Amino acid sequence: MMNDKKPRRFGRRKVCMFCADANVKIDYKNPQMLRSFVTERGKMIPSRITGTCAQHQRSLSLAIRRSRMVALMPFAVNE
Amino acid sequence: MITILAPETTSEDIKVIQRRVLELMERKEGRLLALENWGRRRLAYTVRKHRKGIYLYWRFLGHFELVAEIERLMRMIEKVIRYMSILVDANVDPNARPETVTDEQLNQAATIPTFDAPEHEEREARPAETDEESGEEAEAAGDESDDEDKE
Repeated sequence: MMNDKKPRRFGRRKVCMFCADANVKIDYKNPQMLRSFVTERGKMIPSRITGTCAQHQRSLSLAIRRSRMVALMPFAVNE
Repeated sequence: MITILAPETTSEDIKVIQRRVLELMERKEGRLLALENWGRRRLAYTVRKHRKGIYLYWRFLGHFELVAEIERLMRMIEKVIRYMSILVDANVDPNARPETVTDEQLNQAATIPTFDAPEHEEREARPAETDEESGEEAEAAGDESDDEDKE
């Protein structure tokens, strides 16, 4: 009745990969690295899933968009 | 700046393009900092009906007029199927970037690596790119006295 709310699950807090490791640079020239932040279809994965912080997600999305411009990454992948 | 050339482009063609760009740079007081050939790579999608393309990566210093001129040149050369210039740093002191490109490096960039789809090589750490999205038209704001570093 009143208890139809789903129980809230708290997992381990995700931490931004780029904050954790300063050696990993966000670079549009490196599609291998960017690939882990898009789905198999080529869509960007939201930071809410990957745990990337807002600042890095911004530069990440810029890098992905640039990478797409020069055909290093796909806009869309059709199976 | 990245340019993608049609896959059938020859070394001679690349040399011609190099020469024309260098001429422009000389006239507009720019300087080429680096030129790399990433070889013939598979494109993530077809560009002007090509599935593969030869990637050339240029790093140069120059005013926005130079950038506009180079982009104009790129549109005129038929072998260039895609180009993108990106502002790396605004207001760069030209003396702070002493690197130049030797003839040997130019020749090297003109020869197309034979292996297909080379792994991306790590470039030296660079100051972060600080600009907004610049698709085909890179925006180069800055007044006369500024130097921008473009790649």
